[in-house]
Amino acid sequence: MTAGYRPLRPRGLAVQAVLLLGVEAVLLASYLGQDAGFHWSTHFLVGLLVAAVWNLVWLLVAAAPAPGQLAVIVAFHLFAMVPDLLFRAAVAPHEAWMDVFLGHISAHEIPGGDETWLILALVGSGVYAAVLAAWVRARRLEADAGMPPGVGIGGGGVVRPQHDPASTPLAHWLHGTRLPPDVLLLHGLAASARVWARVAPRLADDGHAVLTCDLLGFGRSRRTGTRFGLDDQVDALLGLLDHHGAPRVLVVGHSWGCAVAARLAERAPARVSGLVLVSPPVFHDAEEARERLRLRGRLAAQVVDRSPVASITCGLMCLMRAPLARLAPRWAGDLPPEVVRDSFEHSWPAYRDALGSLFADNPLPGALAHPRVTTVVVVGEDDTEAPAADVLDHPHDRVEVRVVATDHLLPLRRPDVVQAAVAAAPLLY
Amino acid sequence: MLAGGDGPPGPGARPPLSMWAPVVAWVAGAAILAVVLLAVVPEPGPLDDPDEAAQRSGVLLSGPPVGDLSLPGDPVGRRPVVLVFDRRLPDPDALERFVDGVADGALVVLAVPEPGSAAVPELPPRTRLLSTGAGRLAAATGMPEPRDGGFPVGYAIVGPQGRLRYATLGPTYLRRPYEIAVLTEALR
Repeated sequence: MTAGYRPLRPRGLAVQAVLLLGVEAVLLASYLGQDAGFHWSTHFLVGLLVAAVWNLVWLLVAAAPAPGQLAVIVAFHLFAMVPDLLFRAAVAPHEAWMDVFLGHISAHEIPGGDETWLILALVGSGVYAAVLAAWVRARRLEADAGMPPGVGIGGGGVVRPQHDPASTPLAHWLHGTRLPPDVLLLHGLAASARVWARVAPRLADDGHAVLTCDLLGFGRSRRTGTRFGLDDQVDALLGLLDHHGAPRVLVVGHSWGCAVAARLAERAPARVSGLVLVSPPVFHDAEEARERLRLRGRLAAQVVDRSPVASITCGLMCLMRAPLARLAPRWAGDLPPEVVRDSFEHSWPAYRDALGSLFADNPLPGALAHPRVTTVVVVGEDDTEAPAADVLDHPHDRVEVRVVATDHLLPLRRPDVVQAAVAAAPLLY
Repeated sequence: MLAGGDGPPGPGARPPLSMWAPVVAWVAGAAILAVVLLAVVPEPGPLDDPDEAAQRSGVLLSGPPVGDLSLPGDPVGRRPVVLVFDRRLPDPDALERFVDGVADGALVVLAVPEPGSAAVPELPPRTRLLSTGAGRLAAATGMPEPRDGGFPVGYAIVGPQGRLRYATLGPTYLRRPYEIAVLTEALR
């Protein structure tokens, strides 16, 4: 069974339901025996509310149900009644600090008493039941479409099914006045087609029909697809080219988009007239790739190591997407605000799989050493993320490499250089 | 934390539950909870505190000095004093078991509004009977008024320093001397 579905297995839920009813019956009888039914109900309702919030937050952050869907109610209830156990064991009377046990002391003071807790617990658990029902519905609709389930896809993907890339083309834009497109621009990791905003008009002015798109899981294609490997991206791109009747295109990739471009040329060389690779992340081997990607930052290191911290962090960022996208342009210096905003428009699995493809599935070393199509590489000498030396030190006898004075954001900083590289690349029709 | 990539999901893999299952489970759970809260958990009785949260909170207070209380036997200020309030004298056997269960060294003072001079039984050791002024003592120690408005049934604890440390209604106090033992033990 898919890992994401394990917490919903009927047998496991049935066992937990029996556990829940059994344990609570014993606890209730115990409290009633002490003429303290009021205390059982207060702490049970608090435990139920906290369990509902726990399950809801887990579902929204991890985009998959939490383990122990029902058992967690017992766990939180037992935690809430720890002071009663200490009292009964003659260890200590209640003290104010015991509020750490889910407000054990002051929970009784809430206005409205247990009626308030009952309402809160029913509302909290009802909201969770509704969100979980929507999550199940979304995954079933994806299954009905023959897609792998979108387990782990956060944001709107928690309650809405992802679009099937076989029937929904990537979000795309055409620049220029003629068809079919002859140039395809592919953005990098945590980016979107907007990274080409300064390049595409120049190429259109040069007479090209330029196609830009948001790759699966990124930008306005964030809700398209449930798998995001390089081959999934290539499948979607071939569908997009077919959609526009483009028999052959010059493919320009930036950063991780270079890996997608190289894989496209590898799988469908007849559809690719040439490659222009801008700031390509080239590594000698997977281990070097891991080490280098770890250096990109703490979050990248967590992603490379497949740490749960990475999925939690990204899940939280997913919940905070709107405010982050609003605030981030203020911290981003001279970058266009729309480019910065789009850097948050992706799903966690898309980011994870894209980064993972650079060390597990990177076709760029082969594309440089043994190019299948005419290839031009443009690198920035100040690029710390994809250093020029990585390309220059790698075998690239049949590839033209241009080094310019700029950093990793070459399409934004030096659109003229990209324009010149495209002009130099032979367009074979 | 579960991440999306923990298991390679295959095309067409379906959740093992219907989308209605969470909703049905919630409705069933709410119904069970309603039955339990309405039919199983008893409503407060006439001797209980109108404020349920205030009854047997288990939290020691830092109350006012009660050194001027006039109590029979040992004066307040040397050892914990348990002031037991009741509307009639408890059954002697039950009272003996109760006093035995209270921590060693604590003095138990029974405050009963009308004990009836002819029917006063022999009291257990460390136990005194307040024959007059039970109402004044209840007021002085801030004993809450029960729902029926009558004399309180419960207990108060005065610490060795002569301060009021606990006061609660508890109609079934005789069954739980351990509660008082835990509280007085914490005052040592």
